[in-house]
Amino acid sequence: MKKRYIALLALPMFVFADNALAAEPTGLEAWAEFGGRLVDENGGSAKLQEYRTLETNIIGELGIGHAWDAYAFELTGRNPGLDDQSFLLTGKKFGQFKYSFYYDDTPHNYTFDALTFYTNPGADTLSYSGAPPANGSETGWSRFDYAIKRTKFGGEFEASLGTPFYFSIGANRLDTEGTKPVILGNFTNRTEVPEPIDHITDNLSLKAGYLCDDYLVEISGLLSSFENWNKYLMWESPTSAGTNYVAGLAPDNDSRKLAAKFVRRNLPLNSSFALSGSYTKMESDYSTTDLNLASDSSNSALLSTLNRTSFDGEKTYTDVLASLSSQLTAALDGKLSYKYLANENDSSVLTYVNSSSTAETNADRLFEYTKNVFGAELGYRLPVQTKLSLGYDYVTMDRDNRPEFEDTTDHIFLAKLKNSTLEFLTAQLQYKHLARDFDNDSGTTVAVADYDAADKRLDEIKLGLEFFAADNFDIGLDYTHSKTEYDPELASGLERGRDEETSNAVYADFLWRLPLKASLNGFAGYEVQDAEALHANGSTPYGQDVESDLWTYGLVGKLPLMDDKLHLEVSWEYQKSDGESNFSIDGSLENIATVADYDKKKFEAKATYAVNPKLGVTLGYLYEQFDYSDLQYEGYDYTASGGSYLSGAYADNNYEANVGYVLFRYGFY
Amino acid sequence: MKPRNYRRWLPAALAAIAAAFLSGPQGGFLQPSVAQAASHEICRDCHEEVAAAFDQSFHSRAWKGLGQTGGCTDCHGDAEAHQNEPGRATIFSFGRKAAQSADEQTARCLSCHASSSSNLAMWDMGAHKKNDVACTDCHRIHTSRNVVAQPEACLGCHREVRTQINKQSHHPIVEGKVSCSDCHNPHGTLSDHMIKADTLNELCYGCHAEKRGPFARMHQPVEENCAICHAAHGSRYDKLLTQRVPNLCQDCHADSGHHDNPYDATGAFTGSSPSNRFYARSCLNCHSLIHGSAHFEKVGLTR
Repeated sequence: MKKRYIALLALPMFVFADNALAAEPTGLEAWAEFGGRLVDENGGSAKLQEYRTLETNIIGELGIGHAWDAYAFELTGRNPGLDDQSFLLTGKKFGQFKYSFYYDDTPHNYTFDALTFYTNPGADTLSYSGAPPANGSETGWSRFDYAIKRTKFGGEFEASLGTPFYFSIGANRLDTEGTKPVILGNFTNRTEVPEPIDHITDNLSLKAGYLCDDYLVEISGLLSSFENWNKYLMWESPTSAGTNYVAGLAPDNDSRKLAAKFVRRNLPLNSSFALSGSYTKMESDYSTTDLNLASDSSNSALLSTLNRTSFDGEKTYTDVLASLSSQLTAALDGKLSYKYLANENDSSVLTYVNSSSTAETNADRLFEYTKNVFGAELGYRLPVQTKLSLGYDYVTMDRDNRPEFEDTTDHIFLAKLKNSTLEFLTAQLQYKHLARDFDNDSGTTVAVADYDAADKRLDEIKLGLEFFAADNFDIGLDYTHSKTEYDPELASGLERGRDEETSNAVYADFLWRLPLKASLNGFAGYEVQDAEALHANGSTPYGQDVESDLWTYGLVGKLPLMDDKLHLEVSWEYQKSDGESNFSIDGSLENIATVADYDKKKFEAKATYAVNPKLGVTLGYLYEQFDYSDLQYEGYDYTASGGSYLSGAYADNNYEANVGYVLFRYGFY
Repeated sequence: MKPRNYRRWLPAALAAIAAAFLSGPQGGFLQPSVAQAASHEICRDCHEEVAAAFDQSFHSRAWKGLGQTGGCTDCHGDAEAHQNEPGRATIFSFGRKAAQSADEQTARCLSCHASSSSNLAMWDMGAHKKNDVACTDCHRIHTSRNVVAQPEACLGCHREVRTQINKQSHHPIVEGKVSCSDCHNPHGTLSDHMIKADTLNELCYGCHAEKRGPFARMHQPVEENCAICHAAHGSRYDKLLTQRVPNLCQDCHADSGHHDNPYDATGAFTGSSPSNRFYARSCLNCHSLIHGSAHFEKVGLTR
């Protein structure tokens, strides 16, 4: 809480600035907005405050700016003192330098008032006192919140000082702390616990280059270090007091990237050529001691049979990207592009003998790939302000340590027609076709036709319309139809994997600029999706079809009154989502009627009155409601059958909130 | 102990830095200079409101500060014909109704900015140029603050994204904590979707460094492309997933054992036979370390 007061201490500086400069008008502009907020909320759900602070509180914003000739700077602050506060200082002098410094707190609230029988939620070693907790009762359990906060701060400075040479330096730190839910255990006993989150990522970036009308040459580097203060999470078995298990958490790691870029503009045929290359190395290293595996009761044979007690992780990425774009004639333009993306993994290979005396290794988990993308595009301007664009991409993906899908080849075709001959209408029609084939050269049996790599054919049509019905009235309309057909048939004749996806979507928006600077704008969206999969329970085939639709719209009206002294703004947003999952074997399987169903409503009305040029008052009201249901969370049971000890994570998303606020804004100028 | 004292002093320090800048040379923030105003007199006769706004703009002040003496005609070209016959056809203008094409409009801006901003070097390779987007479609040249209002400026064309970022599972874009330009460079890149990295995973690791490993045991699709499972702009399913769990997992893993079981309504808390492989987070109830496990033991990404 202390930091809130310290942040507020900065405020009198602006008052001082105003007083000190009041005698002599200057170029200073500053403003501060402060007031209060009353929140009445039902449900206590963290979802209301998922990424923000919305509580009864003092609220405000502030800003200060100054400019002389080509130099200007600006400082803004939002919600100072609150958990979602942010500050940004920017400055620039055209052709000389620019800089920015920032500080931002972003909360991520998962679940409030979760329950656990562990006595020390948030610690890296979770334990309880006495006998194992009784299953079927939460008596004596304690409450805690699943929430993290990400604090990011840093700055960037770039300068060219009026020369073609430039350099920049940037540094920032991302500090994340709190707890988030994780479920650990085995098939018979699983326990939902708070994972302690306490890590820092430090980044340092450097860039230097030469820039003129025709050339850019640039070299850059990035150093990034991730440090986790919790290497492991150990928890006491809920069924056997004194028996502990261990999970390894995200390891410390370092990433180093060196990159170079070259751009040549104004080549013959109005061509531009760009080439960039980079090399990145990511490393991690940790040991069985770091993970405290000696305390893990799960596999007594592990430590005695491991080939090594340390893991040295090393991944490298080598990327080369190139593009040549040309205006071949007044009507014809073209582009050729190439991408080479290679990921190598030279991490330690671990071997050991498990408790069933079977040799195990991680060698098959050290994934690598090489990707090549060749692209070509042509654009041709036809008569009557019509443009035809054609594109083709040839993509090869070569994977290691994913033997069923080592190689895939994509052919992607794109055709687009755009016409703007009518003053009141711009229309676009686009067609895309993707054909993906995989080669199973290794002969490894394909158990499931993985949807991301299996053979598939995608066809997508997009239609876009922009109506300019009048000088003060615009309407936009998009329609997309997409269908993807997979080939889930295996060599055995069984079909396992995603079979077909279809989606239809319509999006629209409008802006109506009314007399007296009033306006009305709105948007709407409607999506329907259907994903069908074919599986086999043993040798018994079955199909599953997940259908969903989502409907949303919003309106914003703005009305200035009293010679622009009073501004009224009213907005309304609505969103409704429905989903269901049906099985193809009627009678033997029970369909799922609620799959991520929700209603979301938001209404806000506010009036801003300018008492005088310096002082303004805003009075506002906000209403938000969210109702969520999914069968996987209905009738939530903390100790449901199946050996689970749950804590309530994500179980309560519903909320209804009424918020009233008043803000006073004062400008110092 | 992890050093965190910065939280106490940083906001105040930022304010102090700002205060220090107040001691710099005084000028007229948002106030027109006399010399520049004089150069606009001819245009001002008819475009008084626009000229007044431009006088207050940083664009105008920067120009003046660099010793430039030009005014409206530096961007809009010779106005003689326009004076005789007012209209868009007789002047170089900007916007959808301009007589000049988007490429011509952009070229006018790049004549100054191409050699001053490395960020614009790849404009010719970007999707915006290809789709006839001009600078003034996003930037307001005549206003006092040339800050592109995100995400609204982007959503005017990318309508589908507006629906996506408002879904129940989303990045904090509507909350103002993430902006479009945090991930995309609208001025052009060589990468797909004009993201600010060579690959999507590299981009995501920028904020999610805990996911980059290297782990002793990786999940191959995770390493290949985050978008195989996640929809970055938003989803109706939790965790920005492109499909619900267990279906998302089963579309690759329904091979044998418990993986290929049909998880129907009977497995819910309220069902006839609750299953800890269906209720709550389903597959993730066990396979919780889906982005990679540091464990030395083969544990199916459960620990």
